[in-house]
Amino acid sequence: MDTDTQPAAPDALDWRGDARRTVTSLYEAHAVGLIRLGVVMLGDRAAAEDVVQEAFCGLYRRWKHLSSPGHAVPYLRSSVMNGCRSALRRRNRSAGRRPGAELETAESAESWAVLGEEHRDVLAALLRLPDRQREALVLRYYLELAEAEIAEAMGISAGTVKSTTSRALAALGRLLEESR
Amino acid sequence: MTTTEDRLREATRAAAGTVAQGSAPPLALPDPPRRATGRRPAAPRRWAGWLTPLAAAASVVAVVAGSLAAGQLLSGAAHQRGGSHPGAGTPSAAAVPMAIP
Repeated sequence: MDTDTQPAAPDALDWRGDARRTVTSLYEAHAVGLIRLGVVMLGDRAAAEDVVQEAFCGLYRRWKHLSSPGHAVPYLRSSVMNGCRSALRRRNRSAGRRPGAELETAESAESWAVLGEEHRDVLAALLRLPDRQREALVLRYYLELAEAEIAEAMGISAGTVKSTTSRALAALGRLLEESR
Repeated sequence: MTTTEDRLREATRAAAGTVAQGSAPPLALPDPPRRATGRRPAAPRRWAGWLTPLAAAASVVAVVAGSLAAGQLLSGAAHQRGGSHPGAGTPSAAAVPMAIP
């Protein structure tokens, strides 16, 4: 489990008083974990860093609307997931919506080039899933979040998380079978 | 046999492992939000769209009304002058009917 994305530091601080200092300390504690999440989702380190940077800027701009410091990390995680979804859509649009464009993207993903073929196949298959299914699998099997946390991050009910995860896993298995 | 879940866990962790601890770039936050002054923000100026043509129309009406009023004042003064000196009508008043063939 990647503990870098778990809530921590801000409770101890006068969190509402100095937004810049608190957001910066949150960045120091969680940026790497969130960039890793972005790399898993996008396969592109630079794009992942951009998404994470934008998520922290968004948190800073909305800081006074945050009801409690404990919501900061779930907010960041949701922002990163949304940012990755948008980045993937932009990438697919620029690839001209060709069939298999996601696969080409995965194969050319800079950050995944150093990985073995087995891992690249799995990540490429993951990219071919619909947005919701991909996100549910990453939150469940990479971050190992509980259903309630996944539901909060994705803005859906816990029941929907369960069914989406199950369907996504079956679809991923089929894609991996096809690619053999 | 490795399950799909296991393969997924291993692949995502391997991808995440490409990002080294402490390798995040520095955070660049935007300028601090403006401090609230206690005043309510100005309402959007809904009248701005139609005020300009209305002002232009009012100006035209004022010019026309002013011209008419000035004309009436001048002609009133001319009648008064004409009334006080019989036989000395305004040259223009006398000339206009004569000019028409």
